[in-house]
Amino acid sequence: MKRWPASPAVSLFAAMLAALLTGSFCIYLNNRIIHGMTFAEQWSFHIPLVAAGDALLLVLLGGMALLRLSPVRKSRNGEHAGERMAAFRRLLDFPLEWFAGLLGLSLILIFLFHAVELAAGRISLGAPEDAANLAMSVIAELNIALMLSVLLYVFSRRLLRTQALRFQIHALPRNARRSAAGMLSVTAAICFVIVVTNCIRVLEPGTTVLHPALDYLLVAGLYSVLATGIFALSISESRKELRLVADHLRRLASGGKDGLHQMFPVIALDETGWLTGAWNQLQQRIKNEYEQVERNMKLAHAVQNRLLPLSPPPVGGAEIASVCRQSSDVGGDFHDWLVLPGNRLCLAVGDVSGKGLPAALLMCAVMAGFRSEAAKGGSPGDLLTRLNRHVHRMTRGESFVTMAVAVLDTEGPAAGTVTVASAGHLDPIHVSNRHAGEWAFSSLPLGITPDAAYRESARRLGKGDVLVFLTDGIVECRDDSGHLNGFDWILGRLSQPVPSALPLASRVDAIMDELDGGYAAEDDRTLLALRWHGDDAMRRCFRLIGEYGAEKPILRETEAWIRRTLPEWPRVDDLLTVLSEMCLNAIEHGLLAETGRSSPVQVHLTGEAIRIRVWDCGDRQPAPAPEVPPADKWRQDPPRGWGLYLINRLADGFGFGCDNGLVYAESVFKLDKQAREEC
Amino acid sequence: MNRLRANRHEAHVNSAMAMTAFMAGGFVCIAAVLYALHRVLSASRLESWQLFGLLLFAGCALSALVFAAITRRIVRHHRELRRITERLESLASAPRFGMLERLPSASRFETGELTDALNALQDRFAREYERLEKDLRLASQVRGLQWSETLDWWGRWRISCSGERKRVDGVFLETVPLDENRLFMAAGVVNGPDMPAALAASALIMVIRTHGAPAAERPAGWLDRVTAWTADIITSGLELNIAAVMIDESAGTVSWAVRGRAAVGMLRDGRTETFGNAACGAGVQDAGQGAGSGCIRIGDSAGELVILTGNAESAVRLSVAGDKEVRP
Repeated sequence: MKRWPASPAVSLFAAMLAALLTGSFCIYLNNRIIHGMTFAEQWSFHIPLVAAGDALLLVLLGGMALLRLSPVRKSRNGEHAGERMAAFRRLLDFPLEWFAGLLGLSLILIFLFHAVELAAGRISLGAPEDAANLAMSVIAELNIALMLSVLLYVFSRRLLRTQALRFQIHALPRNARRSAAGMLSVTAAICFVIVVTNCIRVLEPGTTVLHPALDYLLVAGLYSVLATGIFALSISESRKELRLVADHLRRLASGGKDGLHQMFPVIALDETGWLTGAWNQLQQRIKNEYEQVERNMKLAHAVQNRLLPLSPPPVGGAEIASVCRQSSDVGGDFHDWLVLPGNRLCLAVGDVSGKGLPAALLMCAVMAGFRSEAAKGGSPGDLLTRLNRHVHRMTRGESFVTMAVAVLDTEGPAAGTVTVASAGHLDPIHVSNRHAGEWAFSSLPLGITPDAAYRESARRLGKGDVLVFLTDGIVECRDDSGHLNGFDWILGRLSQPVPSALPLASRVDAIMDELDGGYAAEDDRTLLALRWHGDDAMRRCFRLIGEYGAEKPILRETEAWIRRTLPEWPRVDDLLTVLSEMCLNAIEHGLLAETGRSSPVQVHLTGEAIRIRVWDCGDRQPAPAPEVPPADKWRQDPPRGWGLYLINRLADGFGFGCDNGLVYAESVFKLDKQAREEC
Repeated sequence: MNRLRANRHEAHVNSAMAMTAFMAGGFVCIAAVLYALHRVLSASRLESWQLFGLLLFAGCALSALVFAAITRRIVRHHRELRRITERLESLASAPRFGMLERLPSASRFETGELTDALNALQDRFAREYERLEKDLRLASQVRGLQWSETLDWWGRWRISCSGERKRVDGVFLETVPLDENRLFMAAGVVNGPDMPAALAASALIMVIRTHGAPAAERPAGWLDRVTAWTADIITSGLELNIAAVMIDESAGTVSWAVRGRAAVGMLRDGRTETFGNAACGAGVQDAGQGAGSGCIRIGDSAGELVILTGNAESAVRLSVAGDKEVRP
């Protein structure tokens, strides 16, 4: 059944009325049974006086409630914390104030009533028995007043609880603390006084209404029930507050992560309030601590990412593409590339045992060690042997690192020769003439023993050959149905025919995207691929990240390469402008300026022309045809929309195409005779 | 599972109801005893005030008994609540790994139910942050392993360090005895958020080791080489503070170089001489920012060499005592 929503004021008034009527009935019953007064006798004196007293109490206690509680409502939504806290304390103090108010007023009324009785000559104090009778009456009336005060206290506390909840105060000031045990003990004591005094009074010889035993049963039963009810009400309200807290905790424990740190408002100044405040304090601390840890993890992720290389180095004939995806914020997979003296390209892929931050700590150290040792020179085997000693010193055999290092000669008679050494890493895959095969190595991972020595093996790559290094996360990925992909899967993918013009980066991206489409990855995944175009190839491949400014290193490297290759060509600035506009267009529209996205960029110098291709990994919709901007467009702040117009004006050709499902934009700069000869 | 949980909740006794029932039973007993007593005593020749007194005494005595039992229960219940509150307060000020400890089960009454609910939530937190905690625990082990096998003694020098080995932060210390007469030490801290700083420090330790100790060059040159290598590692938000010291016993000198917030100080004959960046106070209390290098003559008298890097909270202090220390 739907409960009628009553306003707190109406509820408080109803509680007050009910308590006063109960008290009046008790007075009537006492007079009827204990003093033997008939209704007519009471109607002539007692009932009008009691009714007047009730009306007075109703007005005074109502006024008190109005006076104390009206500022509370105003301050509840106030911005000043001090004011809110003061209003909150006033609200929680009110039940006790009402208790004291009713008790005090009742004492005054009892005194006035008996004074009027004496003045009217209805009672006298001549004999000691009269005085004893008056004392007993006063005690009985006092009992009723105490009973009503407790009732009002319990009711008002219950009714104001919803108001207290709305304050959303989560901490209790230490000086505001009270104990509920005291109030409950006082209530229990009052209950006993009520029952015992009334039982004894009804046993006194006097007028019998029904039968002495029945009269006793009626009075003793009624006061016992009343006293038990009052105590039950008091203690169950206290229990209810505890249950509210416990239910909230249970809801949090079984709920989602979003609301896990939700706090519970303080609703009392006693033990329940202390407990809620202490719990909220712990809750806040847990939240702060783990938020900080998670924030730090993200910062660590940024530091780790900065260690990983961005664009492949400009080494002629070699095209490099790589993707490293960690299963958590930070991880143990890494790859790196360096250009060694003699234009030799050094590549490395590694995987630290374990996951997360412990693996990331070692990964950073191994990457730093690799760069430092590679700069000292030597073959890949020597490099790994030296690095192993440092890794072992750092891990003391308690964790290990698998790593493969390859050095590719890009110039001279040995051009295309790749020398590989592996330290327990997955065998690299050599793809030649659409056949993918493993290049087998057998060795210990780094860090197992300090004396391990690593041997290398060399092969000569043919034009178009691809060498792929991967970490175990790739072969341990699962497809949609949950089956392990395994080594055969990657061999199959690498054996598939692909257009030779398709950048290696697109191919690597496609493989990784397919992997990520299956089950959620449990391990970090890294794939590094090297394609050899021959020492006569003139191609530069880059990876553009969805961040403004990411085009700058591409522009710098392209400029250095073109000026070195075609020193007399006069259109370098035009080419850089076009390349810049295409990159910015891709960052803004294709990559949506999100650092997590990237797309390949290729500058290809053929014998006839320079072709710039920027792949668009966005919505795969071709861009609209360039429009001629209005003449005063440059006045806009900042001027926008000139990109396609500029590209069209500066390049000899511009268009869009689709390559293996990916959309790209291409600009062409034709070379003049002198440039063709230089080329 | 939910059913099991629900049953567990029901297993708690409603102490409010139990106390109320006890009180009602008490009232019935008191009323019955008073009535019986009145019937018995009415037949005797007692005065009415004597009868009234006896009844009052009996009623009060019985009430006191029942009241005491109820009050004891009330007080115990609230004492348990206070104990839970105190435990929660101590957990709130405990270190991170101690915050998610379970509370001891209080009783089979409401407080026990509340403790169960609190423990259920603590368990939930523990499950939620299990991966992070495991990561941090293992990371601290890795950091412990990464520290140099620090020497306690080198010749007449006693070496101690205030940095904690197993903390996931940016503190590092490397001691390399070059020969009988020369000891090289590099100490420092990468200031910044703990985890990124730990990653940077980890890489830095490897750079220091792969570069080896400066056999022929002065610490300043070595420090220049190493810091140039760390440019990629020390990213925005991180700050490298490093000091390199070479103790040469045969020459009786200590060569030093500092970068970032780092200082070197010599405490001897009750005086403090500070070198490198500004240091103040009676000891080496704080280090200024900048780069510096130099050479100190150590002599034979007892003294203490202090290398301070970073701010006061993340300082690494190395104390090297003179020949008055007796080597154990």
